[in-house]
Amino acid sequence: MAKLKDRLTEKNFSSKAPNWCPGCGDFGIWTALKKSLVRLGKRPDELAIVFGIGCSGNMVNFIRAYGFHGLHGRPLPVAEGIRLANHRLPVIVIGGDGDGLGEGIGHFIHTIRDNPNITYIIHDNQVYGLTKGQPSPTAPRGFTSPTAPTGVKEEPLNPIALALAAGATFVSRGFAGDVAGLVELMVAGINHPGFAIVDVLQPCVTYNHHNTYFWYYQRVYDLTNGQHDPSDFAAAWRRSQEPFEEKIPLGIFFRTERPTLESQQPALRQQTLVASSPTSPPAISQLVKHYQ
Amino acid sequence: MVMPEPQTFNWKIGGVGGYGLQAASNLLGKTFLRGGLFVHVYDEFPSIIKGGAASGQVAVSPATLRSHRRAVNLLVCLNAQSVRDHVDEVVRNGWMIYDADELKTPPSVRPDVVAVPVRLTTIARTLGAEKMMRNVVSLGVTLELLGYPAATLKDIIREEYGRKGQAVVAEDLRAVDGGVEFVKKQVKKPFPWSLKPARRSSRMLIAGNEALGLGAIAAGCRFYAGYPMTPSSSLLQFMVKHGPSSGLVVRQMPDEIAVVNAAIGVSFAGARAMVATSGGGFSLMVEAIGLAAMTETPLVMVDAQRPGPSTGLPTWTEQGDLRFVLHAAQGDFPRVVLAPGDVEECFRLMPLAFNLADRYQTPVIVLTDKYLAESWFTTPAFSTRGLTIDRGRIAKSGTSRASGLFARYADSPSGVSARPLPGTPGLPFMANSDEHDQFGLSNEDPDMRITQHSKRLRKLQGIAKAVPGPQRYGASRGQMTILTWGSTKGPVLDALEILERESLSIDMIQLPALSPFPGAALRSALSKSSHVVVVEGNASGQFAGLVREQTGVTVEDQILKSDGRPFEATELAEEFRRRMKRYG
Ligand SMILES: Cc1ncc(C[n+]2csc(CCOP(=O)(O)OP(=O)(O)O)c2C)c(N)n1
Ligand code: SF4
Repeated sequence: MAKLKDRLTEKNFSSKAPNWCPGCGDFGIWTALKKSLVRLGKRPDELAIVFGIGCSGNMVNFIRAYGFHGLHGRPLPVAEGIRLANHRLPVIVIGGDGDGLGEGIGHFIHTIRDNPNITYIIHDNQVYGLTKGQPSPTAPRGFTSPTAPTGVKEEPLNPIALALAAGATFVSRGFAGDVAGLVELMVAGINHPGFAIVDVLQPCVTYNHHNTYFWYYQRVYDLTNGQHDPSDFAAAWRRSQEPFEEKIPLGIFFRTERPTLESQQPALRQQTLVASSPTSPPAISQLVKHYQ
Repeated sequence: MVMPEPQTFNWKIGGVGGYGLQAASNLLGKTFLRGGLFVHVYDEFPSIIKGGAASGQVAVSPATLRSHRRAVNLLVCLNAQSVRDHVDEVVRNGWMIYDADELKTPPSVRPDVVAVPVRLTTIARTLGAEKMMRNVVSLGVTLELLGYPAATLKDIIREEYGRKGQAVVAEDLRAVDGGVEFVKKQVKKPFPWSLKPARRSSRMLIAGNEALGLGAIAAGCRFYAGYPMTPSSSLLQFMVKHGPSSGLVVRQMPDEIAVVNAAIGVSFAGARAMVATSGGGFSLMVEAIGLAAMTETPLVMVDAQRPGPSTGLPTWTEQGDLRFVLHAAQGDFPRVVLAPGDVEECFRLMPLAFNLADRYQTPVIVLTDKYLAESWFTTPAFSTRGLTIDRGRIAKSGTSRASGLFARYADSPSGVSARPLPGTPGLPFMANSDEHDQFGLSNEDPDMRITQHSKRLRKLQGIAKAVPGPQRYGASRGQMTILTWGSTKGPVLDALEILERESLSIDMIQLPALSPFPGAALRSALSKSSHVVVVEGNASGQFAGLVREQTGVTVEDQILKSDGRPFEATELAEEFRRRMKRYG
C-alpha cells in the first residue's frame, strides 16, 4: 500500500481533460486541489468530493475520487450526510458562489453552526458561469449582465465577513491565479478539524470582465506577510472589512477549534454508521414493551 | 343523536388544548388494552398550543376494533364549549359528566342524556393536586362507573410518569382515587355500561408513526433526519427518543431540503437513511427525489398527509397528496409508493421499503396520513420474525483499472448495477445528477441517454414483483366491493363488520402498493364484483382516477371526504347499507 501511495501523482486524481473556457480560474483550483491531495498523501479511493451545480461543479468530470454531483445549492448537506455515515472519510465540497451563497446560503450558515469536518472550496467568480454570466450574490454594485442591464443594485455579499459572523472555525481566501498559495490553504483546510472555508477568487474570463486576473493582481496581498494573527477574531473582522475594490487580503483570516458535528454523535463513538449497519433485523422486543 | 353499537363503548373528553386531553385518552386507552380489550385512541386538536376546542376519545371493545366511533357513550366535559360541541354525539340514554366548578349552571341537554355534575377542580384541589389533574380525576370517575379496576390505570401512571418523580405520581394516584370515591359516594343511578378486563394479551396500542419508527429500526436504519411538521413530528420525536440507543444518528435539521440531501449523503456513503415530513416539507424535498433516482441512491421517505393545499389544516387528516407524491420530481424514473393501511402494515412495509430502496437503488416513498400517523390502534405485538435485511448489490473489490473509474452504472438486465461504498479500495466513481455514462461522468450522447434512462426505468419490473398486490378482505357474494387505500382501511373494515352482523356481506380491496400499480391483478379482482365503490379521503377521487388510468375500470361510485375528518365506521356502514339496497 505504502509503495503505491508513494507513487501517486496529480495524474492519479485526473479523469477526463477539463472543458472549461481556456484561461478559466477553475483550472487553477483544480490543479491546486490535486496538488494538495498529493501533498497530503491521499488516495482517490480514500476521499469523497461533493460538487455543486455550475461550471465549478463540472469538475466532477475531471477529477478522480468518490464523487457526488448533487443539486444546485445543496452540496453541503450531502457532505454532512457522508461524514455522518463514514466519519473516517475526508470530505471536500466544490461549489460556485451562486450555488453556495445564492441558492444554498441557508446551508452555508447552518453548516458553519454544525462544524462538520469538511473542506468547502467556493469558486467565487461573481457570476453564474454555467447559465451564461448572470450576476451572483458576490457581484459588485453596477456589474452589468444580460439579466442586469442597468447594473446590479444590491450590495455584494462578503463571504468572509459572513462566515466570521456566523462563527466559522476556519475562514480563508485564496486566488485561482496563485496556485501555490491555494495549495497551502487547501492543505490547511483539509487538515483543519472542522468546517474549513476556502473562498477562492476565480476569474471567469468569459463573463466577468471586471474582476480579471490583472485586476486581482493589482489588489491581492498575502496575510501571512502582513503579520496577521489568525487566532485574533477582531483582526480577522477588520481584514474582512477592507474595501474589496481596493485591497484584497489572501490567506487564513481566522482559525479556531470547537467540537465537530461528528464528534458529538453518541452513535459514532465506536464505529461509523456504515460499519455498524446491521445485516439482520436488530431486536425490538424492548421497544415493543413500551406499547403493551 | 346517534345509535349505539353493541359491544363498543366510546368515551370522549372535551376541553381546550393544554388541558391534558391527549394524556387522558392515552392513559385510559392503555388501561383498557391491559385488560385484553381492543382499543382505539383518537384525538382532535386545533393548530394552536393553548386554547381552542380539542378532544380525546377512546373506543373500546372486547372484539376487534380498528377505528374510532362517533357515537359517544360517556362524555366528559371540562368546559361549557365542549358540551355544546359534543352533546349531540352522545347516544340515547348516554351519560355526560361535566366539571361543575367550571359550569356553574347545569347545561341544557337532551332529556335522555344523564348529566352528572362533578366538581372535578375541587376534587383535584382538595387532594392537594393541581387543577390540571382534573383530567385524571375524570378517569377515576370513568373507571368506577364502568366497574373497571382503577389499579390498572395506577400501574400505568407509575410506569409512564415515574420519571417525573414520586411527587407527580402520588398526585396523579390521588386524583384517580378522588374520582373513584366520588362515584362510590355520590352516584346512585346505575351506569348503563360495564367493562370487565379479560386476560392481558401481548397486543400493543401504537400510533402509525411509532410503528413506522419501529419498522425502520427493525430494518437497520442508521440515520433519521427531520424538520418538525404535523403529523410527522411525532416520528421525529420517536426517533429522538429511541434512535440513539438503537445506534442511529438522529437529527433535527434546519429545513427539509437539508434533511433530504443529508439522508442522500448518508445513503451514498453506505448506511440506511430515512426522512419523514408532511406535504409542505415534502414539496421542498421534491427535487431531491429525482436526485436519488438519478444517482441511484437508496432513500426511504415518509409523507404523512394532512389537508392541503398550502399550510392547509395542519392537525387534521386527508388523503390528498396521492397524485402529488406519485408524480413528484421532474422526469421519468421508477416511482415506488407504498401506502400502509394500518399500524401493522406501517411496521411491515418499512423493512420492505428499505430493502426495495437498497436492492433497486432508488427512492421509496411511504404515504400515511394524520389519522394513521397519530391515532393509536390495537395490533398484535410486532416481531422481526420473517424480516430480512437485503442491502442489494454492493461492489466490494476492485474490478476497475488502477487509474480509471469503476463502471458503477454498467447496464444490466435488471437495471441494477453494483455500487461501491465510498472508501472501498480501488473503485472510485462519480454519482452524478447530470445524465451520465457507466462511470458517472456527465454524458449527453443520445444513445447513452437511452441506455442509462432505460436501465433506471427497467428496475420497475423487478419492483413490481416485490411489492404486495391488492388485498381482499371479507366474504363476498360478488354484489359489492369497496376499493380503498391507506388509513381508510380501518373504518371500512369496521363498517363491513357492522354490516356482517346484519348479514350484509360486502368485501373490500385495499392496495398497500400504489406504484408500481398492480393493474392486471386489480382488474381481474374487480371483474368479480357487480358494483364497486371507491372510498378515499380527498375531494377529487385521486385514487379512483389512478385505478381508471391503470386498469381501464371506471368507478363512478365514489365516497369522498375532504373536511379534515377521517371516515367513521358507522357512517360508512350507513352509506354501504343504502347502496346494498340498490345494488345488493
Ligand atoms: C434548482 C436549480 N435552479 C437553477 C439551476 C440552473 N443553474 C445551473 S448552474 C447555475 C448557476 C451556477 O453559478 P455558480 O454556482 O456561481 O457556479 P459557476 O457556474 O459560476 O461555477 C444555475 C442557476 C439549476 N441547475 N437548479
Ligand atoms: S463561463 Fe466562466 S466560469 Fe464557466 S468555464 Fe467559462 S470562464 Fe470558467
